Amino acid sequence: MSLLIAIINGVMVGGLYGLFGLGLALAFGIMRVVNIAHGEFIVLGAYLGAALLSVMPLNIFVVVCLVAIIAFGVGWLLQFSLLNRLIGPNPVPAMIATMGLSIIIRNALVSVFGTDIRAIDLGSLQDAGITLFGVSIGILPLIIFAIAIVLFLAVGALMTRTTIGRAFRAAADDFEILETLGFDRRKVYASAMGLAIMLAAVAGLLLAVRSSFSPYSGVERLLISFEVVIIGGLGSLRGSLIAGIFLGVVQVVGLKLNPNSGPLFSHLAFLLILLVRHFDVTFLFARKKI
Amino acid sequence: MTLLTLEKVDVFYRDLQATFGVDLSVGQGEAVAIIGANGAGKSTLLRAIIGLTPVRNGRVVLDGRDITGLRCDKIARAGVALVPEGRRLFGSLTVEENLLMGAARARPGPWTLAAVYELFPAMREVRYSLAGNLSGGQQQMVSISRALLTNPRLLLCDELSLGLAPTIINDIYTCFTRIRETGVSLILVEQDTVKARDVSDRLYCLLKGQVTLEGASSEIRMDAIKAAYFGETAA
Amino acid sequence: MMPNRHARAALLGDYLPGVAICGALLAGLIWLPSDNRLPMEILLVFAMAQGWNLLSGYAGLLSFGHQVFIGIGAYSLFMSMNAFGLPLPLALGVAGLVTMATAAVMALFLHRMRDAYFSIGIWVMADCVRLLIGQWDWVGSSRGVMLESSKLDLTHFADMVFWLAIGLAVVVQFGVFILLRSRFGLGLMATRDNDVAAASVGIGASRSKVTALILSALICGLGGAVYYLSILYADPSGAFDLSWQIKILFIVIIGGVGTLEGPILGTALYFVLQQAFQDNGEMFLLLQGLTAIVVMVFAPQGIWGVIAQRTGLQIFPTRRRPPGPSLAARRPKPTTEDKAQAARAPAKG
Repeated sequence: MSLLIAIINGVMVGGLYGLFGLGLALAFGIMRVVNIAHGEFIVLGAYLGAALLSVMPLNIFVVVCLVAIIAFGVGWLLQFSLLNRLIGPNPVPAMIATMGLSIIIRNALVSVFGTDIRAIDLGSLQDAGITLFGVSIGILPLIIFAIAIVLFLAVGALMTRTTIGRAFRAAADDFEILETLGFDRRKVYASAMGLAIMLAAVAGLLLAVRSSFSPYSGVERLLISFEVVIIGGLGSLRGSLIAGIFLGVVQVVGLKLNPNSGPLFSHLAFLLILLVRHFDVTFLFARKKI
Repeated sequence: MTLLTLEKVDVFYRDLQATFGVDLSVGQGEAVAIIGANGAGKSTLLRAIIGLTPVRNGRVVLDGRDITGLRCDKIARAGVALVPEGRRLFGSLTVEENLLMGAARARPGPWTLAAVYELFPAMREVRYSLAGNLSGGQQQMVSISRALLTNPRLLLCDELSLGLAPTIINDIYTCFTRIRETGVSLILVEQDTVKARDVSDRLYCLLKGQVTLEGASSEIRMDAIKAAYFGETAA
Repeated sequence: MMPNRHARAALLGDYLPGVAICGALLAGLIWLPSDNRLPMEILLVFAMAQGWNLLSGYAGLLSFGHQVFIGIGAYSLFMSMNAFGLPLPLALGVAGLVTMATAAVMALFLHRMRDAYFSIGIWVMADCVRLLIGQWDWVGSSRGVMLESSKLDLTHFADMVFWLAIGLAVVVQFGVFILLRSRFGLGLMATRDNDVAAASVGIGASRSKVTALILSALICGLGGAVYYLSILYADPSGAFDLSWQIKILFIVIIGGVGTLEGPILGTALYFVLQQAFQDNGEMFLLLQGLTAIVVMVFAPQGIWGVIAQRTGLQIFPTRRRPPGPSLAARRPKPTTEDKAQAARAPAKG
């Protein structure tokens, strides 16, 4: 029975992992930017939410919206002012610059908040639960999972139903032609990075309600995001969600077996998948559709 | 009334100079053909007009406005559109989504989704297919329509006939009568000199980045074209 | 006879500036008015940076996981001395072999990965190893492991470790230099610049990259082994820490990726800054991050890259100079191309 609870918890955490991966995949698929600071933005979302909650007693949904808006702005500016200068056929400059950014964010967080491990406490909501078929499930994890699913559906709709979403996909195919149709590529990219960082920060905030975080959590979050991208594929929303849930379940069940294992089991599962499917990069590049 | 003027334009492709002091003009509603061998600088010149490749020296003037050095998207919104060599559709978007991309930042004008479906009725049947899965001829129709949907004043067409069957080439060029009725100016880059002469009002021949021949298409003799094309002295 | 003497003179000319400059730098370090601790660290960090540069700069595989080799080197040295009682020289050999074996196993997963996939793939593996070591009781799990120093001659220990560091740094610098001038090195750079073209002239991209990975791992493994030997204690959160990777990356990036001179400059700069910010570690890290960004925006080729570009200077000439007239003068004249174009043109008309 406790295994079943672990699996259910894993699914719920996995929805958030899926969002982490989706954000990373957006930036990679559209601008070929591998954002090494992705994990730090995930953690930044958590700190921002915690800071907002500590300043005023806000509803969790309001906090999520505020974090989303701020994160979008941060991502937009990051791409527009910095990363647009670094993109090109060689992905290394953007990787190293975002590596530098991750060091800055990590140490700035240490300076401001210290190195303590924290969690976000939502009071009564935290403990509320319902019992389904004899298994008690927290209300909060359910809400969080629901938000994750809604975000996935919203991104899907954005990609197919709106001009900016189609522009994201078109830019991944052929950005020059997109420009000849009157689109400002710099702004399309900036919006895509805004969306990517927004997904990272919101998912990071929601994860912080479920598990603790510190300024040093970014690396683990980045690696998980990357594993989601590789397992789930660059071009598929459903792939990201499934991969996220898979890694979430592996990790939570792994922690059940060995409380000190951290992300070890999800790393091992990831490596196993690599080995099993004789991972070939061209396979991913061939279907870079978002 | 001239719509587009190039004055002594030098363009570089990477480190190599592709055009040398090209002067060229296109009148309102006029169809101008640019012919020349592979590597003569035709495609690079089109890329330079729409701002995908920077103009190193010289000026590009669109309807009295200097557009040299403007960003590509700004030139596009000033009324220039490109049908690129090799079609270059957004392969992971459907046909209709490709067309919507053309319409999204469009200037006001006669071309709408309904109008391009009327121009190429065959497109309607494949509107929900992925653009990457179409045949070459179908792709060319989508590419032309996508450019038309921006309602350009000047349409740049790069090697429309490349890799297409002769009957399909004829079908596509037939539609240009309809397209020209809307008053749009055309620059057609072609390797097929006969076709180029037939469909254009005026003709330029480029050789190694320089204009070697210019004149009204109906008055230029084929042997003059041949000489200009290959750079032979009239012997 | 003549060409031979010329070749020998040219060879001497290629090596002389490097030998002179390295000699001067070493002499400066040896007579630096401090104990041997800092110079030793400088030399080891430099060697590791050059090892990383071999893979990331010359093979074109940007690694974010080299901390794993440093940790493995340290741990295998400690364990072969503690558990198997090997003498130090043998234990160093074992440390090198174990790191190379680790890299070879990782290559099984990594050999098909390129670009970002490789960078983060190796990072995941490094994290995996760190977590596994932290769980493994035989190596002291998360408490770490002390080197049983009873067998060591502790009277001259500091000097011995210092000379090990000097030896490693010198061997790495000139070993990599010689390696890059060999057929292997040329093939490596060719595959970095163009996989497909290199493959078409018979240079196996995958194999030379795996070799570079293993050699690069060996260098970092030995560097880690000597470094932790000097402090007699290693734990997973230190020896496998990402901060090793950040340090190395910063040094090579700022000095110049894919140059042999860059890591020397980068190491010097790094330690000057480190001394200047001794009391403010966070500030130092912030500055490193900021520098990485600024360098990428304004001079992605690094300081030495800029110098080499402006002046054409090469202290360690890895690109062979052609004999006789310079490259520029040997470019095919335009007329030949024109003729070829003219000859082809009628066929296309």
